Amino acid sequence: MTTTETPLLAVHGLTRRFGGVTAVDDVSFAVAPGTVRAIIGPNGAGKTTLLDLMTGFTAPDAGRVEFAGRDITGIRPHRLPALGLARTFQSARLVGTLTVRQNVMLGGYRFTRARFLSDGLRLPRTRKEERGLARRADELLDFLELGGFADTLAGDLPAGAQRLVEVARGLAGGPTLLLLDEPAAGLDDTETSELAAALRAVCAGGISLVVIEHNIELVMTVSDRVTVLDAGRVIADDVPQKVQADPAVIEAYLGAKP
Amino acid sequence: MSPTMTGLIQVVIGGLADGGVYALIALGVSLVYSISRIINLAQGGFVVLAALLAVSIQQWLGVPPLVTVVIVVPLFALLMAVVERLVMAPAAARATPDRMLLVTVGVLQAIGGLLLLVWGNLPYTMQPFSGDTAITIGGVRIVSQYLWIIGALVVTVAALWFLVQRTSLGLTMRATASNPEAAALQGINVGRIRLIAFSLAGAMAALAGTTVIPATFLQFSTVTPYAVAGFIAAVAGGLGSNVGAVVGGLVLGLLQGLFSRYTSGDLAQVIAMAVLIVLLLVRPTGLLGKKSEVRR
Amino acid sequence: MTTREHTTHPGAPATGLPASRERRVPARPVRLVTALVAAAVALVLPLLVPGWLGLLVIAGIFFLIVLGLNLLMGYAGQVSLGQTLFMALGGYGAGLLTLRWHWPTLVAMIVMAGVSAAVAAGLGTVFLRLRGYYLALATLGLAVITESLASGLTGFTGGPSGLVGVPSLHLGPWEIFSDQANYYLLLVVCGLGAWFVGNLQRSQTGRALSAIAADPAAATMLGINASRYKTSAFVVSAVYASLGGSLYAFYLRFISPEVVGVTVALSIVIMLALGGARTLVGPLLGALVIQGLPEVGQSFASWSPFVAGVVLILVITYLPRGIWGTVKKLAER
Repeated sequence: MTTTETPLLAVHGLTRRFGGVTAVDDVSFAVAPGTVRAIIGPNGAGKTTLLDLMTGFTAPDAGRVEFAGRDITGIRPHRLPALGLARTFQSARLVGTLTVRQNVMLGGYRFTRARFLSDGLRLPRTRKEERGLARRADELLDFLELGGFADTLAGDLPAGAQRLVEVARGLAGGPTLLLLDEPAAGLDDTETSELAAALRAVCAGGISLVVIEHNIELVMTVSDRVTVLDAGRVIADDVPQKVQADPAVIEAYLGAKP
Repeated sequence: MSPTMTGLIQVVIGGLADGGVYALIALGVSLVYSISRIINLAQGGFVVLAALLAVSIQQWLGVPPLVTVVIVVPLFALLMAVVERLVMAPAAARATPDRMLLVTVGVLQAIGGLLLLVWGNLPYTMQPFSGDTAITIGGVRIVSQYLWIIGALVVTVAALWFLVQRTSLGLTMRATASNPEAAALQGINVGRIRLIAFSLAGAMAALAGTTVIPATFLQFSTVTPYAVAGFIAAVAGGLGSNVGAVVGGLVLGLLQGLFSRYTSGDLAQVIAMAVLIVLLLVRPTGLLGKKSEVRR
Repeated sequence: MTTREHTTHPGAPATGLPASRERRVPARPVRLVTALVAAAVALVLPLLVPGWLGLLVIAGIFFLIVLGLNLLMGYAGQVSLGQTLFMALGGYGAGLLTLRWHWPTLVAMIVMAGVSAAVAAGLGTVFLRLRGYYLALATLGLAVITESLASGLTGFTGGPSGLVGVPSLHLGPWEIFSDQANYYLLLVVCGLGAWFVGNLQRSQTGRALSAIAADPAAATMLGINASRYKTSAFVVSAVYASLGGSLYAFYLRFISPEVVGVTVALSIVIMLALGGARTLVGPLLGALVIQGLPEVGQSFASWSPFVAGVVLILVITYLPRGIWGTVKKLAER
């Protein structure tokens, strides 16, 4: 990472307290465009809270978040897609009653003007939008090798496939940065390596990733830089190999209670 | 005391009597909710069923009206246990909480239908327990049956308090109420506790029904207003809070009574509902409720 | 990414995921033929069963109302026990405008639909912040208020005995008076209503509503402004309910507090759950069953509330998708 490049995402001194507990304590890091940043740490290290702070689900007690040079601290979450930021959740939260294709079409929400009147009357604009959304959805599904599931109800898919669909849905919004909350949770080895391949492909396509993860192997194979959190604080921020060997990191993981 | 003052107090007494019935219904709703997270909209319906059953029993057996209480209350405890096993448990195992509400609407509907079938569409009443007596304090006439109703409420509240605070069963119930999953992990048979809660609610409904019918006329169509009142009182008082349910019921009865003195009965309903809605919007957890997920 | 074979059909894609289970939706020609047959039957029904027309008209009116509720409850997941408020606005509103102030019937109906939309927009922003039971309770409160006002404002609404002598709907020179005329009118109105809701369901708006019902946080992350959508769904449901109320008043030339009572408010939700939410046929089925049960036989009339209650319990417990939803699911196997 060249230090002269403006980071795509920059987090400065983020802090969040809940009652007496400091869940996130003065966390700072920067994500360069076109890279994959992993955030790891033992259970309770504050990773999800950090993600919530970055995406406006919680307001920080101190610090700020910048995206593409813009201060987005405390922004209302539904404004993020328009800026080019997408986020997935810890358990795949697809709409189970819709098909896979429909879920991915929904991901393209920010490009559409879904209005009751025009959609209800099925005006030409709506029909054109539908065709475009379906086409883009099929492209993304093929890209992630999920084409065969396009017409399956999302609720009927196995967990690994659901995660990939969620990635596809996130991509449908055309983000420049995709934030993933523990995408490998509950996946077996095969599913995890498929996920890793998919994430590498996504990044090769020019989209930056921030991945919150537990699964060290996934992190090592996929990320360009790793930030390690422990008890809300950053204890390491480096390339994967160095972090893996860092004694402070090892201690945090070994010493941490399950 | 001035006539307007007497009139006002008279209305307050009447409102409290109504409120006492609502409180008993709301208590049943609240108790069941705290154990199972199910809102039993049919509770009000069981009240009317118990009342009409009491009327029939009194006529068949020729016993004094008070005796019907002794017969109907245990009968209803049993009946509710049966309903819980046959209807609620299978439904709860399969349905989300929103759909459970609809199941209880179905039960309410079925009760109303049963009442229509067996008792027709006529109104019924019963002789007051202590006969046509009343006490008069300072110009204010209190019908004796009202005292029975308030007495029933007091006994129920006291018994419930004793059960919940001073017995091991009560402790188990409180544990289940605060965290059903944790309770199950601790080896508590949540299904059995739920059965007990429903059974107690049945007894409360029976008590409410048998004590109120000598004071008013009830028929199959009273099922809905009672159900609505009980639901409203329980939620307004704060779901899961027994004290809240009682307060909610009494306040609702009072509001209705007070407003109906100055306007027609219907408009009194309107104002009472409007107050409730405003309360709900301003203080969603109800008057005394605990914080739960009410808003996004 | 290395190019792989484009697999679109069942059978494991190279990722080793299990074979996909595609929903077998009937092919287009089959759907088209079914629709045409249904339309043909609907058109000749008045000649086949003239005695049932009254029932069908009422069922159609409730179909319209339940269709609107389906958008709000079935797709957006918001429980409303208070649709009777809008039925009352449409029914009493149009009734009073035409009876007392001699407004043209069509104008009255449309104006009241607009009023209902405005009321829903206003109430929606506040009410729809509540969730689950609390929203159900607040809307139930609306239903109680509606029934009480209809009964209590005697000078205005005719009190408990209701409003009598409402004129029939006039479309230009034609008076929609007979059962047959009303039936065909309902056929058109319901057809348009179903078409509109059906379009919404297959569009981005419909998908957004489903997302809001399934997972509001995830929907927000996609850029969806949940409260605006919920309010809009509420508005549409209010318009449908209002039109239903107006058509009722014009057809029976009468409206009373009982028609917009709490029991009816609950029965609307029952019809939706019974027939099957998230479908177009479900609301129709639910309306037919609930409106039709009392008519099945004279002696049956007193049994029907009980039976209706039992049926509801059984359907909600064992058929979570409602009758039609379950039928559809079985057909897809």
